Amino acid sequence: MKLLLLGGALLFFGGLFAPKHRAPERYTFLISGSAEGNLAPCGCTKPMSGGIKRKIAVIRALGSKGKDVIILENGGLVSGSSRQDEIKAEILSESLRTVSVTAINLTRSEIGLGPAMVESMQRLSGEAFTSASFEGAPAPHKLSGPFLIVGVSDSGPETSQKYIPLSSAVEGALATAKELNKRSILLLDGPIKTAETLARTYPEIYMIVFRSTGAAASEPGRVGSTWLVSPGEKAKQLIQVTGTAKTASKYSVIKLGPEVQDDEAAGRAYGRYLDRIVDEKLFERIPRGKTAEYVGSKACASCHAGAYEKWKQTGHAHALKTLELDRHDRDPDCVSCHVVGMESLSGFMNREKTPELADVGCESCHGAGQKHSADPKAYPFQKLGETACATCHTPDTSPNFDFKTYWEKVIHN
Amino acid sequence: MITVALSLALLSVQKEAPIRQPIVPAGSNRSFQEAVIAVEESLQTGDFVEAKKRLAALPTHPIKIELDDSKIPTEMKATVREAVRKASIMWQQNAAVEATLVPKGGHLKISFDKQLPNGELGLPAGAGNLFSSDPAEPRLTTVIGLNRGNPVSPAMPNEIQNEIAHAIALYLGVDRSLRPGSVSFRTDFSASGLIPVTARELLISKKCNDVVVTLQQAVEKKVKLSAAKPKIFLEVKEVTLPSVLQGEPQAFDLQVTNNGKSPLSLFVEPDCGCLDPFAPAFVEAGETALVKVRVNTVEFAGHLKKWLYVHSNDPEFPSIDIPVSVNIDPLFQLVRPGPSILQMGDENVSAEAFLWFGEGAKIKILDARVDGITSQVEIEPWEGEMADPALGQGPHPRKGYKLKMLFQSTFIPGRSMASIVVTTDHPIFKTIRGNLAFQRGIVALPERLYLGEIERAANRSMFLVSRPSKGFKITKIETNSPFLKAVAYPVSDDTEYRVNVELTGGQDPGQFSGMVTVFTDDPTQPRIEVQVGAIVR
Repeated sequence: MKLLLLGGALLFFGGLFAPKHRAPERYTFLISGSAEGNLAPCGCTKPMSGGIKRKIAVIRALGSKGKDVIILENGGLVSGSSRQDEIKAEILSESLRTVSVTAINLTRSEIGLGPAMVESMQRLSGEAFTSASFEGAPAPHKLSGPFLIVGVSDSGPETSQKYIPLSSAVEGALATAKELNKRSILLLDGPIKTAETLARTYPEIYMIVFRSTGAAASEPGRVGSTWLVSPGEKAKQLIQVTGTAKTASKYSVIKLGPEVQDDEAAGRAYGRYLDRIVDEKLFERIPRGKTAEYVGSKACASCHAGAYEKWKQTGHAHALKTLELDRHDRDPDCVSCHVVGMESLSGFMNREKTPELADVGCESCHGAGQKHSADPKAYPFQKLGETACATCHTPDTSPNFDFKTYWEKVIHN
Repeated sequence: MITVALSLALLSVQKEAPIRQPIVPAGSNRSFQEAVIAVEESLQTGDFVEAKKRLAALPTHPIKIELDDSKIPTEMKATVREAVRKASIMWQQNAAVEATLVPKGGHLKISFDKQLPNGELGLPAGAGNLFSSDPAEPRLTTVIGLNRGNPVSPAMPNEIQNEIAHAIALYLGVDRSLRPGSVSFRTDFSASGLIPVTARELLISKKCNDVVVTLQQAVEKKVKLSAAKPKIFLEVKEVTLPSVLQGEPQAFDLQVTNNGKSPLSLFVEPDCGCLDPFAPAFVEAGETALVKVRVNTVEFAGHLKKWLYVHSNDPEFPSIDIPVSVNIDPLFQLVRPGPSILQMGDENVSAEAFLWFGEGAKIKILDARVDGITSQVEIEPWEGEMADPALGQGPHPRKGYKLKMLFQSTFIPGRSMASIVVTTDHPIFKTIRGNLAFQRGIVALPERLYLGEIERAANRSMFLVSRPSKGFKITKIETNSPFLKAVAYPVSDDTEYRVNVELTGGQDPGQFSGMVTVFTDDPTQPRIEVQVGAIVR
């Protein structure tokens, strides 16, 4: 019996004092940013990438609420300060809350919406906004595991919230990180050049998330041991970085293509966005100007019957229907490229008032036709080229656009 | 057993045609390319028996699919068989590829497991695909996870169908795509819909089939062919272009050399519509060709980093990624200094905007107006220093025009938008637009309160009531719901008040819509109404 007890005690103490070789804890960072108001991929051409529903689905799948998962959003939720931008910013903040976002950089674009909106977004996001660059910002930093996450901006807008110079903001954050024995991660509202300079000046920074145009790079940038990463623009992809508290080690770009199933909660929030833009009559509030008068495509048919018949068979003649099917037919972001003359007091209002101006019509490309239809010789139309299409067929909305191929579909004399 | 109707369109080869060295298409996968070379090596030495054996490692028609459903729960078996049938039909309808289910000895074996180990992203892998060159084994074995995603949940029929369609693409020789939206791209995330077979995938699979048919004929007729060993060499691994003005043409050439002994097939695709590559279909052995790439600089300003994916039939490098960087200097910037929202009292309001152009820009203003408000706009040439926060540039000498705008105070109280519209003589940027925001009278900010999706517990929010141009007093606050409370506090002086709003909790689930009414001492705006909305769960 004594031997057994002794053996048990030896095992216990042996276990207690034996050297432990536990692998260091690994962390996963899911990084997004620069949505710039792109809540959903524009559906003109399939397949389109991006959108809040896919982004939230990916974040949720890769481990929202996990203790070792850190969800970072580098701000730039919207690109303007209109009522539509306000609604978008609220919906984006609310969607990020459903995956327990760790930190959102409060950048110039959010500050530009005003203090009341910042407070609303802060509440909807689950108190996730951070910035060390603006006095009175909700929180100078966020703590998560061994990391201190700080939002900083390389310049400030003209607002009542005083801008703190970048070097002061960063040095203050690094001092706090040192005091708390944390590794610092910067969410930077600024370009790669600024990120590189910061990484060279402050080599103790673990990672800098910066702002960039275009797609995310297929490899991370590195200055010393500091990783420089950017999710690219318009929320079309998400970055996944994994590593220990000592160093980041793995990097992947996740493309938000149609393969990703929409997230249910983000889908509900997006549905509310569509409801709100209709309810608040944002389409009716678009500023319109006095321009040359629009008359509608039917007015062209008497002289250009062949062209009119050809037009009726094209996708242009059903352009508004595609928006109606997606519930985007009162969305100011979308409608201008699906109707005639949205910017004009004589342009499209709605199907009831201006049915002849619904869809992409003759005047969408050729310009307002009232004068031409009254006196074609005095007001002749110019021949159009590729640039006439480029207003709507942009790389973002129509990535597969090829003038020769598309022209074949609408060609007329 | 499923038998999809036969179509021999892909197999039709003119019997009398001379047998020529086949060229493996760019965009085919490494396994296919290596299998072709193995057959050709035997043909080169005249070992037709070995060549015939090696043909077994190439895709053949009809595809025999061996379905191992032993691990599938009984209630799911019919669903899985239906997914296999639909995936086969999808390929058959588009590419006339026939697929037949066989109990054993399949070219493509599809089996299932309860859950696969985690893939690259840390999620349970949706499927794993393994090629084999052993004639005794299926050429491709695909294992599909019956549970996937996070939280782990049963794979949906669409997801199983997508995985099988992807496996058929791989079997036919199509390489895994880097671009979402087609069956050759796959992900471990849960997918909502069916992913289509694209024209590009059809073309590659057809060309792969042509190669197989040619090799079969060469073996049958004992025709010697040399082993095709193209070798791609790209002079540059990364393209950094000089700065260019927005809208100006920008182009570059990518030099591709074939250091191998047979033609190199090429296919170059960009990761965005702003790169427009034109590549020759082939580069002959020992020759060099140019891939001409046009950069669309219209849509973007600032630093642009995009990617070109160069696909070839070099089995060592079937796909090479080339990063392309360029700085696009903005052609113009329309900047309005000062607060983002113009305060408007009863008097007219003036403001200035600056439209400056990039160095070397050939552009003139023809006219300027403001839509949405009665206004006058004067245009005058301007030169000075100005920052560009959008591109992170500090103060810099700029040249352009100053727009002096005078607005009539015609808006009703509230926030309103207007647009600066500048017409120019530029062939692309004919119209330049900028937004203006106005605030007139006493305004609630935000104009409606949105609480989002909330629990039945208490929730708090706030709005500001503001008129910076003139002080006012709040005399009373009312709400139209017993669940809604609101209290106002002055922020600093009598030009702005903070109204704290509380939804007390206990309201019925569903949509909540309430109203807070703020009464003021201004007889022209005695009441300000703010709608409060939430979804109670």
